Amino acid sequence: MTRMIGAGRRAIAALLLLSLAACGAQPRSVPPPAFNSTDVMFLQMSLEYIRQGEQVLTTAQTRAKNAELKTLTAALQAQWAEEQGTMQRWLLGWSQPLTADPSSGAHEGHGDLHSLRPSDIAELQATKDNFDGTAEALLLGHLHNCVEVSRMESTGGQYPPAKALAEQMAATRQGQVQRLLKLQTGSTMGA
Amino acid sequence: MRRRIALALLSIAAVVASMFVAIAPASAHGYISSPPSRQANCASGKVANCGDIVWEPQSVEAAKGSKLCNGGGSRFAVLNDASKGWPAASVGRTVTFNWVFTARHATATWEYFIGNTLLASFNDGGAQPGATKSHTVSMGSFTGRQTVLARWNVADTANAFYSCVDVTIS
Repeated sequence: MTRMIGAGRRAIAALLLLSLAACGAQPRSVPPPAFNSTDVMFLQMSLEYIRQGEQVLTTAQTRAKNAELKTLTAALQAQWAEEQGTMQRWLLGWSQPLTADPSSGAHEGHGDLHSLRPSDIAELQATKDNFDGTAEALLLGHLHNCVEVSRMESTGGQYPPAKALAEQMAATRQGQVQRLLKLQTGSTMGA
Repeated sequence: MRRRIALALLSIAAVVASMFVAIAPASAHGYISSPPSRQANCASGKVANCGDIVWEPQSVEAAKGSKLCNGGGSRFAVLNDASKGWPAASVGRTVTFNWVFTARHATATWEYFIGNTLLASFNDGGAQPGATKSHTVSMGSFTGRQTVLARWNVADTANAFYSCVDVTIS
């Protein structure tokens, strides 16, 4: 009888140990950062927009005539590189894909409408006259889309650092939009 | 167990997220950036206190057929406010209007009006715009300060995008 009780006690002790070990595996003092689907969508879409926009910046770096346009694209390139690193780190930390599932239609379907198409980049590269005006118009449209996704994160996101980044991105891009609008009025009005 | 639930929730979130990516962007499309339209002057900060339009000058979308600068929609009534002191661009007898796009919709027509006078109409026959779009339009017999209303009529929806451009013709 005592033997059986002893065995029972040992079993309970083992179970307790096991459950303690299981609890120990969970980082109890540091809860996992809370994020939602909007955070993930914001990061995935922004990364995709950076990838598309990069092609305009690279072309503008070699072909833009206006010094202010060159300065603006260089600054944007540096900002995007930094933002890209942060955004990739968060997605990887959450075990989320860096790009939206292509089978969802994000790249083939309606979502594609709000993107720079390969044909737009090709058109820019083939532009002979008014390269600056074309690059400015393409960047304006693209930055408006970036701002829209950032503002979506500000209202619908959950992860505070991502929301803070979105606020900062929307403000910075809006400043660049304002400069591009002034540049465009200058370059096309004179033409 | 908690981990399993968390994982399940995560994968649901991922599926929902990818669904949103496919359908989310639906509001924003295009406007005239030069000569600057009213929404461009708001977005560039040249005209103050415009409200939400500063963030999305491309979103002036409403049912086709309106003669109002905001297209008669529920948003952006500020664009109809003649007392707002809109700057007018100095232009000649013909003006080249340049568009900015955030989405390149299949296009029926582009129309340009001063008042009830149709200055020009361009039929794209359902084609999508290219990277950029420009139209050169004669101002006809109009002189002095005028407001040009541009309408981008989308081919596959009932809507159009509206841009008003204030000009001084000389």
